[in-house]
Amino acid sequence: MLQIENLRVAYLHDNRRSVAVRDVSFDVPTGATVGLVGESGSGKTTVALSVMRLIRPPIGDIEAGSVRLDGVDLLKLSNKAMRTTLHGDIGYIPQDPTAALDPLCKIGRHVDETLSPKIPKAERRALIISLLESLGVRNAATRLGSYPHEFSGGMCQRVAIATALARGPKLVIADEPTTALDVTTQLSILRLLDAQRRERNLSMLFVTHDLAVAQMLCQYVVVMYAGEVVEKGPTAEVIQRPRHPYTRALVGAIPQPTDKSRARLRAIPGQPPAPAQDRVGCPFAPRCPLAADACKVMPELKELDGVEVACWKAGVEEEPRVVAETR
Amino acid sequence: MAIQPQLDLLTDSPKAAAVPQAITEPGRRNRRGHSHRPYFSGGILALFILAGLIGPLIAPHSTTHVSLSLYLRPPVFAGGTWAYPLGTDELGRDVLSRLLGGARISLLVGLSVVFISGAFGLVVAMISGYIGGRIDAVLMRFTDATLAFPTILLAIVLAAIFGASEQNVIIILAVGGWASYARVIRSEVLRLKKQDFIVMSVVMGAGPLWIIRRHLIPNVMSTLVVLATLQLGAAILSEGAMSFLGIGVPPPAPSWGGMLAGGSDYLTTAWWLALFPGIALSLTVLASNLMGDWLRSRSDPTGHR
Repeated sequence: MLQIENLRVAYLHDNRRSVAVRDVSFDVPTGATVGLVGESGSGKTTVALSVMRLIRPPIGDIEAGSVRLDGVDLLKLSNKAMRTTLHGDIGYIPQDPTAALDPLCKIGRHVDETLSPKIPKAERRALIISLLESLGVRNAATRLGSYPHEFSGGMCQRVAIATALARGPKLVIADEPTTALDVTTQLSILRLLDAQRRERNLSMLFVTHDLAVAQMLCQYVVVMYAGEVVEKGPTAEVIQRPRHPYTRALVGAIPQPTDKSRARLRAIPGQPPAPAQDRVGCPFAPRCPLAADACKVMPELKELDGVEVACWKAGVEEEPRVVAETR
Repeated sequence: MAIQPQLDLLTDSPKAAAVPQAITEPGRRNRRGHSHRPYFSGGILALFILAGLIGPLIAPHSTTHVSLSLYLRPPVFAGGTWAYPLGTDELGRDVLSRLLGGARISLLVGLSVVFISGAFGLVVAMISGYIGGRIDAVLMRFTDATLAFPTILLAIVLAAIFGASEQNVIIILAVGGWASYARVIRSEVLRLKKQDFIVMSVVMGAGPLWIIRRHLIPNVMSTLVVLATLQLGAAILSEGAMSFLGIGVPPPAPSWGGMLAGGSDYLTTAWWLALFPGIALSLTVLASNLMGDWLRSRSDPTGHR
């Protein structure tokens, strides 16, 4: 299981630091998928990259916190030990499958590269074929010699998933793995990931901006806004009864196919705050319909019926303007 | 309630969950868009390399034998005799024999320079581009300094110190030539480094050497080949310029560049002295560029470009 505690990450520009992730804490239990949701720039990808320690000077700096995988703090490991952990325990599925594969590298070799050269070649080959077949690549044996450009986006993503899973990782980090795909392919990829999670008892950290996708796949969601966790808990609870005004606005912004009222799509007015060094008060207050004097002080995460919310007004009934009524 | 739970989508019946059909044909690769096979360029290069290997054996005359009584005979089609098919130079040496003998020196110098400076430039580019930071800054300033320094001046200085010989010509030209490889390939590495497939390799726990060897070098190969084919011609010409200044391959050994440079004095009276090495040089440069184009399109699996 993955435990992230008080993670604080800053990006470096010349002499300035802009803090992209502030005091983020959440767990990814073994065998469960946690969805990290939020809009662009909310810091969700930064959290995912920090777990793999890919945020390093001169780009950025993990300033504080801990990332424990089965009790071992990844941030304290030596570079060599970290590489071993990355190789053995963590699988990464990137956003754009076509960019994730080396254009000069054949399909079979992509998966083969991750396997130990100590395994005999024929055995590796059989392993790769069965893995690719189980991920829905038909006739995998005849396609190992193909180049990535000869595959469709969905097929490339299956190959990328195969490279992530080949070593039997404990944790899979997926950074919007279906965003670049069309919706039908999205669905089959999501089903595949879910099946693999069950089969292998994986912990999965799933970064997405799509609440509908998170709702399908994740047992838990963590909602981020401007680098902070604003709400986290079991998916059904968070999405069906959002307690934070931001989550409520996000849920309200999802277009509903059942909505016959031809109402305009709901947008959240305003812009998220720019990342900065210091910040006072709730970052969402300027856009929040419930903002009050109390919001000038940053609210702590507090538990409310199994869901943790960082809002002074959590649980206060909102005026109907914000939430889409679909029935 | 805003959204209906859609969890059933994930636990659908196996039929509905079936994966979409594979779209592309399995197996066989279809390489389209390739330029013609390089018969012309390959033929020219093979001919010249062959000339370089066995030239002195089939040459009708000695490459260095001077007989002043035979000086400046025109080639056979301009009133000369078959004894000296391409005429003779100002010292009465057979132009054809010197052309054949010169092939060895010119190609040896050209290929060695390309190979040495290409390999060195590649190493610098990989270290600089992949590691970055302070090492990158130091190496790139060094590269800029090399690029800014006029090659011919550098050549004069180095030749004055180490003397003129075939080996020194190669070293001097390689010292002046690696920097453009380093510059261009480094920028390629910077572009590639940010690509997801390199990030994927890092996440798989691959070390820098592995990534450089398995992913970066294959991906910069097409750029390297193009640079090398351009530099091959330039190196042969530079050797000529050095010969002209008396710091190239020392006379009387024949080289195309040297013959061209020497022949330019007689351009109005004995045009054949400069014409034939000039043609040989142009054909080599043209053939190596065409070969480079073909190699590049071959090394690109998508078959585009």
